[in-house]
Amino acid sequence: MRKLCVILVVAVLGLSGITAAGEVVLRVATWDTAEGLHWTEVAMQRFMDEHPGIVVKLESIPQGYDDRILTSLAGGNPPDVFLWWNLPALAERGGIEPLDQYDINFDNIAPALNAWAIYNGRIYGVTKDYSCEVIWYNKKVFDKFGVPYPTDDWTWEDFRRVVIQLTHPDEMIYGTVFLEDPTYNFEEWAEMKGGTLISPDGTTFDGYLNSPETISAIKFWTDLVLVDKAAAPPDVVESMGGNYEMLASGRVAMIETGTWFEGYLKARHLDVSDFGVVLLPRPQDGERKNMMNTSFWCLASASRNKEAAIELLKWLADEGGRTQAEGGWALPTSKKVAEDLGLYEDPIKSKFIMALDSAVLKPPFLRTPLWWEAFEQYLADALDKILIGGEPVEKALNWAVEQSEKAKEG
Amino acid sequence: MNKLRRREALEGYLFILPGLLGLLIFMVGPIIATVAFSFAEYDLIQPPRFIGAKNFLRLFSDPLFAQSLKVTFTYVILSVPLSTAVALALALLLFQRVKGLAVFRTIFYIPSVLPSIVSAVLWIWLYNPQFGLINYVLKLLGIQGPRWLYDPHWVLPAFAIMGAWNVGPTMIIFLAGLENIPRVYWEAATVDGANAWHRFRYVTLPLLSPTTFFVVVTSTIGAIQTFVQPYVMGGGGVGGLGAPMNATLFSVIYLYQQGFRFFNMGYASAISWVVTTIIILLTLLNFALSRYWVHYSVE
Repeated sequence: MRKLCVILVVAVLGLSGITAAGEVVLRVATWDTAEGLHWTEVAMQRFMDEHPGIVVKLESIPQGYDDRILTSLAGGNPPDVFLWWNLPALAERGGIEPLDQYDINFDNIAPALNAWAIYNGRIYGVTKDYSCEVIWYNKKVFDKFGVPYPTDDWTWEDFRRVVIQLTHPDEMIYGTVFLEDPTYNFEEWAEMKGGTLISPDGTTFDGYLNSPETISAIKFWTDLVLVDKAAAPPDVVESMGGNYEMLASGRVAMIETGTWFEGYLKARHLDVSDFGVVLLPRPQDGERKNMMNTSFWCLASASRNKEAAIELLKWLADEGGRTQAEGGWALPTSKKVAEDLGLYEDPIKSKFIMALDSAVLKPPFLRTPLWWEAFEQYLADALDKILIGGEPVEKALNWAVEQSEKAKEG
Repeated sequence: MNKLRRREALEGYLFILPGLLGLLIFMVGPIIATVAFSFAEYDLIQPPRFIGAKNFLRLFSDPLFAQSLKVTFTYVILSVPLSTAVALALALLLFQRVKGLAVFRTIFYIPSVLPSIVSAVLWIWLYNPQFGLINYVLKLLGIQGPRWLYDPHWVLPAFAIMGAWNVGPTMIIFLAGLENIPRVYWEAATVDGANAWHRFRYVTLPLLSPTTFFVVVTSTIGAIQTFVQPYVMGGGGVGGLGAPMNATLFSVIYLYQQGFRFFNMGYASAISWVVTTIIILLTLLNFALSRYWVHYSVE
């Protein structure tokens, strides 16, 4: 009996050795599930067809993705290639490798996207896909109140006017909702006014968050809530089911969000043509700026199969997101692929590609890895103080500056 | 020890070995590791770097840590008495031997069978300021309900009320405690002219005190470790974890944020050990105070 066990164990070990001998197995992690995962699998399969000898094992982590990747990094055996978005956090700590030292062609990817993968002058990721902040509007609400649809060259004053026109409290319809995310929504509005949330080198709020330009941009939005009562505050939005639900059901006329609303409509079998997309308005005397949301394929520093991983990253950069774009799942990262697939003719998808040209190039969280810990939460608290606590904008923002300075010393 | 006894002992150890190994590797090991981490700077990616007692010193001047203690203990003061009282009240009702007792017992127990995430989502809707059932009922009574989870002053009472709904197991423990009181005491009291309130105040409560003591100690320990409700239900307003305005920044939430969002695992470990020490001290205090109000009957 003992002898049989020993033979079995040795056999199993030996066999697993044989399969590993000729091939390299790459572990690749993604947070995509269902349809998104399917298109990634198709792309990986195409890569494997062109690269016999490399096997890609795709791991989908739908829940607690960040926590899982962090613990795998702590344990010293992260996936070789994984999807990530908060590059500075890992780049700063040496968890991912800079990619400019390898033979990867980044020219195929739109420059704005590459700009978001750069930290401290080095590029750390191959963009997988992206979304740009735009305004989605419900055509039926506009039709109901006889307001013409907005056009891409509209201004902040046009936006405010339309928001007020479309707000009808008696019917519980709002013109728009308050911006939901301090990091992803406010930098663009501040930059449009010539301000910014945090210093370019990412070291301080002081002089930036409380600059007249930034204050006026934030005040524009808080006034929409508190003075014009035309933008629904966050608690009302939550209690009405969220901004997507409100837009889909016509409780709100316009919301600022990215590409994901289209997927939301499709999942509920709602007609996408009942909705329109327009680029963000620009201030009277300024240019439009919009934020993006990007995800990148990164190379783990602790990977033991770097050569094969680089081949994969190279292939992904050259492919420019073609597979997922052909499947209609996400936008390609390459403008050339967008042209080939006729995406510039699509009334909705074309907007996102156009928005790349007005993208914010260095968002706050890419300027410093301390954004979340020493800055963002104080801005979020300040916004709550203004909306819930009724504090004046300048006072609340100065408070945030103070708190952030104190936190940095700690 | 003779050969048979030794063999039996060995078999015993072998039987518990899997469980023991699991306990050591997955619980004791990590706990010891966190002690080590609390004296280090550890960002999960680079190896930990020893920094002595800096993490603990930082706790003294960290306003958010002070806030987290305030939030946690406010919640304890609100929820432990409330839950204990509700559990005791329900147990007393069930003790009346009414018809359909088993049905009621099951109904009262069901909430604690639900996974906490499920009840959290349910209560988010109940507490909805616009459409929720609670504010609706208050409206019928002519009261304008507060914004509950979106109001920093009402969010902790909201959690405490939700905790009181979840008293199934505590109620069963009180019921068992009640069953254990010999009937002679009540009979004697009735003979001496005691009414229901007298019987409750002078017979039931004192004889139930060991059970009450157990409930208070375990509820306090549990309340300090609250995580699921604030994690799922907190975040009203613009801010994320701990919102609105850090009113739901429980200690465990704060240490999770420090460890997993801000990459300060060493600091998070220090926080967790300070909170653990507080729990131990509170429990010891509870035991010390118990001799003033807990009466163990002599059978």
